[in-house]
Amino acid sequence: MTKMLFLHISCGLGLVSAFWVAHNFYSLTLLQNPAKTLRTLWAVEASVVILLYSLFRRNPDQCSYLRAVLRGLLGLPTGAVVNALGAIVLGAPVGIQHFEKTIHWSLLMSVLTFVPAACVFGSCWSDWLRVFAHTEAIAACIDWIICIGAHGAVIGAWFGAWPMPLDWERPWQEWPICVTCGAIIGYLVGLIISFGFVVFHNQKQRVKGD
Amino acid sequence: MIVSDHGMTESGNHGGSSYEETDSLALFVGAEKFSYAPETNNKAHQVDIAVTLALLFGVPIPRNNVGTVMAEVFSFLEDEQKLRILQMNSWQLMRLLQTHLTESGCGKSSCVSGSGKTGAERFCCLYLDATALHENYSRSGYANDYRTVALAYHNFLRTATEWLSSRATDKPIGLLASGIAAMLLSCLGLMSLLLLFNQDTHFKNSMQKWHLDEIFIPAVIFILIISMGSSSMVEEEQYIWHFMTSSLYLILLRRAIQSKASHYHQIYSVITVLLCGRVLRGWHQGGVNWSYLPDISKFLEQSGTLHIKSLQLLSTILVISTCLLVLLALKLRKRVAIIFVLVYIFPVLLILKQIFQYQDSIIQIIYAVLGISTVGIFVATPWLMPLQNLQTRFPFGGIGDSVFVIGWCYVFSWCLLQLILQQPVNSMPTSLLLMQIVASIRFFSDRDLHVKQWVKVAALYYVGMAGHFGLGNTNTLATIDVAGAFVGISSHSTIISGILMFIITYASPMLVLLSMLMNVFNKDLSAFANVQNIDFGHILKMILGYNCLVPLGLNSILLLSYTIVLLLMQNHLFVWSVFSPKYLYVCATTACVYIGVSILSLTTAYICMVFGIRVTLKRNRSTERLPCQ
Repeated sequence: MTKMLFLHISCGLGLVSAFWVAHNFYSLTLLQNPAKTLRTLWAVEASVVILLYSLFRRNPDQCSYLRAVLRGLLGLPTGAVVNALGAIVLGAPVGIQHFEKTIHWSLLMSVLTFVPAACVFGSCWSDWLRVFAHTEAIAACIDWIICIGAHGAVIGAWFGAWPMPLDWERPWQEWPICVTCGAIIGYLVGLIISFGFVVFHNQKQRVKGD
Repeated sequence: MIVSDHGMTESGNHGGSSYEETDSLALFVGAEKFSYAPETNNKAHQVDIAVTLALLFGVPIPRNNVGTVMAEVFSFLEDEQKLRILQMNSWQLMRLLQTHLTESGCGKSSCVSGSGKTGAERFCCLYLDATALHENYSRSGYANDYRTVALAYHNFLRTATEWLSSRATDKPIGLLASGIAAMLLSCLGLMSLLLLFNQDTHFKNSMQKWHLDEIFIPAVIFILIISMGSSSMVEEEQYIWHFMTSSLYLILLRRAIQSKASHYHQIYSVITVLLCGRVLRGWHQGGVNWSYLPDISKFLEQSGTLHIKSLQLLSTILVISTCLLVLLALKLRKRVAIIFVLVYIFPVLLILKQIFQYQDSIIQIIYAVLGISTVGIFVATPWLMPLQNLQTRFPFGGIGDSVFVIGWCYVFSWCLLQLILQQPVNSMPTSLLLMQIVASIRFFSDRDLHVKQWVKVAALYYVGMAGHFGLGNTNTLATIDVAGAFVGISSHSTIISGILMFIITYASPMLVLLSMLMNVFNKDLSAFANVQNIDFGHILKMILGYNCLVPLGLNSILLLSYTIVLLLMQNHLFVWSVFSPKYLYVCATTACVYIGVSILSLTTAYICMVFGIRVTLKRNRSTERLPCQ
């Protein structure tokens, strides 16, 4: 229980502190330097996520902590490719001037969606299917956390894209600023929901145990 | 003169009817000093600008002007000239009033007492008063009288402009209400039919859980309607359709991965739809605000005709090979398949020739040949198709085969027609659209996925709407391809040009509606036919039910909600520039859906009729033979 609380709080704080680092050390803001800010964001959050989720790896006896970290590091670019393809299919701009922003955005999305699963499950396809496609009922707490967080980020990003076609001529309407904001808000909401879920789940199990 | 187009609220919204948004600036700068115009509180109505500008430039006042001249702007003139300006404005307004009020010209006799008059008489008297005073003034020339004359003119102008403005915004509420009620009734009727039909076909498992894609289909329409309330979303509607359609297909991709029974070819089909859709989105930037951004069509136009020609050739080959593959996948009898291929060889060769060398006479031949071969296949197929399907041995599988083949023929002919009519840059999007449709139908043809039939039809409809914008259409009238409407026409005819313009603009929704015939699968029909008996009513229902009801229902929801949006937006600044053209498009889409649906139902009814005749003929023949044996 305390482990789960720690996981949630540090994932949330990781994002907040990444913004703080970007703002205070490099004096970057999402509006003025989206690419560089996104780079700081994913770098800080990736270290938090990989180090923490590797603790919760599947089959800890067969798989060492270092190997789980390595899986997370490998999952980072793979997930970035998947996220970038998804965004481009949905209409993200393709072009040299957007290239850097798209890469850093998809790396951040990969950290929020793909990397936790890569750390925990490795390359076990049935586990991935269970969590992301709900082929079977999900039992373990960590599965729910990964599932809700990732879905929160993706749904948040999807809704974050809505103000982009409006002709308000605001700087935050540019790709990928509002999509990033949507994804981060969605992820944080997902964290809150998944923590509530974990508490609920534990209580239910305790009642069953009694 | 400097004017801004509109104001803006603090949050950046503009175009609404709040004070901040409707308030805008008009600044007149002249060589003369405006002597008595105070620096603040110079308010004018927007309608006053036209007449003021006309008089400043010395051109005639527009005939339908309802505004009054801004007198402050002319303060540099002599009294006599000022009165002349007021006189011209009054005269124009009086003429406009006379067109509205049918009563004949002004008689001097009735204007004795000032009060208690209505309508034409009141305006008449005010006008005559002013002109009489003006005449007096011109004769005598007392400076003191100027004020009285100007006051009289202003009096008339104010009353006239108020009456005319209120008249211009007057609406026949009874007619509007009955129109909306009719639309609402038809929408409700279609929806309840759809519900009844759904209960009829899925009566066994009505309490099943809804899948994500089934929830998403109505969500698309809901989100679209919500965003139609914003003028910039109407201008950039192409983004919404593409975004929603791609999201829908991503959900379907998730479902294909989810399903244990799915095959790789299904996943490839969905990915084909998604990729083609993205290329289509990038082909024309579209919209209003970002239409200057680079896109593929602009790049091609810059790189010269050679590239465009080769791409046109490539897309023609793509269309032909896709259609051939579809025909081969049906596994008809060899002789039958060869007949279909032979029918199309001649028009295809002509089109290829036309790409290299444009000739009006050839295009007319192509129109004729395409028309004849389409009608010929439509008429002949149900008679020639064997009653039983060769592969599956379904009794009366020939009905499903005929429906599919005729649908294939419609789609192929329509695509070939588009290759001639559309601009050369648009030939590739046409073939991409065809690939999207074929890939979707291939994806839906697998029954193991259990995608509901109405989801399939709605997904195809959305692909068609996204493709409509992918072919470069927008919600402004400027993107209608007028030049294409004169392709291959030797003499000017408004009706034929109009039809061609409609064919070009609604290429994509129509293609989708025609392809609905290919969306009927033999396996679904087999339940209603066995060796002895055939239930034509059920077969007609299976073929036409969802394929007609879903497009009609979706379109009626859009039509109704857009009519309401338009009425709510009647005071919006962009009602003429954004919402009205969009409404014209919505109406034309409705016409397109009705035409497509009637083609579908005519075709299916004809096929069923022919098969009915053939079945009875066969039965008669066998009963005649029986006694002899």
